[in-house]
Amino acid sequence: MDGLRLAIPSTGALEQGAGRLLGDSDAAVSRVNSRRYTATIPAIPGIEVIYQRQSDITTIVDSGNADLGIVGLDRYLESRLEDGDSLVVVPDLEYGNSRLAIAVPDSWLDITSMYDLSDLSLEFHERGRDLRVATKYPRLVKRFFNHRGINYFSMVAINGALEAAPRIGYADIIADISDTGNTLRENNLRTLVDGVAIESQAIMIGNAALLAQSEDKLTLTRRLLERIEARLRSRSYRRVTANVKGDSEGDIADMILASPDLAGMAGPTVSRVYTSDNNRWFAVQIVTKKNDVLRVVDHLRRLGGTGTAVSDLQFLYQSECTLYKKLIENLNHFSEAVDPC
Amino acid sequence: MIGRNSKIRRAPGFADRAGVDFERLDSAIRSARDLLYSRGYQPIETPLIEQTELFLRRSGGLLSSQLFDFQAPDGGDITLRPELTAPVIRHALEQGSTVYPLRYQYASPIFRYTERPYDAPPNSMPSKRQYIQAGAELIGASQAAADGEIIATAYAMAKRLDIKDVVIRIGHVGLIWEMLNSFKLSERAILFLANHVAEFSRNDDHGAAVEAEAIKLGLMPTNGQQSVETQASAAHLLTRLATGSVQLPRSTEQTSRTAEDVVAGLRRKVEGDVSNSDFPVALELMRKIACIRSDAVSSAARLANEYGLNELSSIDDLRDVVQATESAGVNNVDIEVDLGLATAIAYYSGMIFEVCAVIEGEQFSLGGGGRYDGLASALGSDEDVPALGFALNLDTISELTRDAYVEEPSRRIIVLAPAGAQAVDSTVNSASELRDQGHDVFTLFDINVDAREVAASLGNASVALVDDDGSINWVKQ
Repeated sequence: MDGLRLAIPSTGALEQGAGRLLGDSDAAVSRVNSRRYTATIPAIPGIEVIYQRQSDITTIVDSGNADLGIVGLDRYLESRLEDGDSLVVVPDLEYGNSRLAIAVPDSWLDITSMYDLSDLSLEFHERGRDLRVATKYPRLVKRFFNHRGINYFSMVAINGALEAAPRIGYADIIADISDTGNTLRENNLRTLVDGVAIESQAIMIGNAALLAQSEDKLTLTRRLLERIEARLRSRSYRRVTANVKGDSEGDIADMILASPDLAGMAGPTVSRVYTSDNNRWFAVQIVTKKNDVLRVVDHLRRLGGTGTAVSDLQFLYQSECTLYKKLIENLNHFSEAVDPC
Repeated sequence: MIGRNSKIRRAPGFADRAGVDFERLDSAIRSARDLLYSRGYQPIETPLIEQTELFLRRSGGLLSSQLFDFQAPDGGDITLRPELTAPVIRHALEQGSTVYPLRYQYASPIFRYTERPYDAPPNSMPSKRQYIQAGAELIGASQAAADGEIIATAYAMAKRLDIKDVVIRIGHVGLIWEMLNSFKLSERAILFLANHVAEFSRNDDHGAAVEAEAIKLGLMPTNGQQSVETQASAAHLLTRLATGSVQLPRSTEQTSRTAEDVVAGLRRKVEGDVSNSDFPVALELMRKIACIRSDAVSSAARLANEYGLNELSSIDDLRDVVQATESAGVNNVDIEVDLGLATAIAYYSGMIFEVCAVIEGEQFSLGGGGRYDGLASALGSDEDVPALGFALNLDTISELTRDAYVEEPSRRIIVLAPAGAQAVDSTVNSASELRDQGHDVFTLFDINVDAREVAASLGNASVALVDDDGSINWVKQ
């Protein structure tokens, strides 16, 4: 049986988030120790986890050295081969939110927007020099600057702490990933009002050619995606239970279904509660969207509901795994793809 | 990653042209050239590679984000040409001619990088990144008759290339600029509105997104407050700096700009910016002007009057251009004036237009052009040279007219094969003699190859076998 190789960032927020998400999805990673760069997922035998630098994961998947990878959208867009074999399998893993921001020294009070920066780059150009931008994302930054009409600038390659680059004179401004902006502020840098080049989050990518060739790999991918999708979906829902007095299950159900948008995903589950005082109580259970919980609680109250409890769901499976279905569709397209030029 | 033994794929967005595809495109190029010759346009071929700076001066953000730009081995910044207007103007300026007008024509490949979105379906290929632009540049002519000639030439070219229903959409960026310059607006606000005018008619939100962006950038006053980009706010900051109630952060000392640079920047904002108090009114006018659909010239004039903008010379120019276009041979019913028309290129200064094919009620853009009077001076000319031009995408036209294309009879070719292993040399010699007599010859060297099969694959071909003594025996097919 073919194994499935899943590349995960070896450090940082994306690594921690991946560990949490997989653990919450009943696909916890078992790693002998933190110095070891391979691991397994005991719940899904056949998956080998490899820990790699986040900046390398896109290339590793593109080149077929891993079947799947977890990476930031920003890194993926920066590094992907446009006609490579990688494709997005999960577009949002619901963690690792960040943005690629353009930041200038906070003392530059006259530079507040990309328009100001455009003027400044022209001013620099007329003086015979380029505006120097320190970034680890030259591809994305170049495109963003060009779109904003900034043509005269140069990229400064830097691998260490970008935030120090303007202070040490290595660059004029920076373009870097920021989640809260605190690090920028602490280094006397300020994001421009319209200076967000891209909003990013953790995604899962896959190598289409490898996946399409192997039923085994697809089976393992499906097992993983089923768990992740059910876990991610469950976060948006809550289970509401309450006791409601009435004549019969049917009467209670009718009363609840009178407001269909508050009756849960498919409808309420109603079952008899046997009490010592012979009153006819029924337990009602509704699975509803997180944002609708209070409306559902009020609805049940109006029907005489009491003892209402709200609980999280661990997993919520639908009739099919949407992510896997989408993957198969994309793989079919991939194998048919012929450049019409 | 390309493995040592894996098949090398064609770069995405680039096409091979062979067989009938090549013939069709080649035929379109020849037709386009013939038409332009008949109107006095002289051919020019500029280098595929130019200095990047040529396309950065006035081309605008969209085009500059589509450049295939590189660093040359000698360290210079170079670019595969993304269009031909700037190279042609560069050439004209280098020639230093003072005899106007100059008329140039071209039908040559251009290169533009268009990104394929990461979430696009895997079978969706990027749009073409290389295609043939056929076009003309008319340099040194400021009259509306020149605008009419250029538009009518583009129209005629589309017709000549078998596009049955052609619509010319005419806009006028000069009018937009003239209107915006009549308001109390900062240069930045004018630039913002001019760049976004097309979105008012294109999007369903009636410009709500543009308005939101203007608020975000501080161009649009909100809740009765002046915008943050105003003279007031920069002046206020300067006053507070002068009185010491606010100080430049200490980090100024540690950046590439001095405190004096920053204060000078603030001063420039004070001097250059106005309050943008007219921004909401100007935005409203742009929203209306972009949505005018019928009787456009008169409607635009009425609208301008409503906003107190009288005697706009661009309205007269637009009217003259439309008349000149009709006089030059474009059917009135094929002209649509659309003041929300936008172009990806920023150097246009007056009339702009788009040539569209109408197929089953749907419009397909074939290209366009316009007047770019300021480009020559932006590229280093001491004087402003009025100029205008257009270019059509021959790859698009060639695809749209695929069904209408009638294959021209291909050249007759002789497939010449050795009759035996000893006859290869005599076959080569005979081929040479036949070519000298004016024949096209396709030579085979291997006696195991079936010459008739080869002839069938070539189409219009005859077959002959050559003996080792050089005698030629024609084969019946």
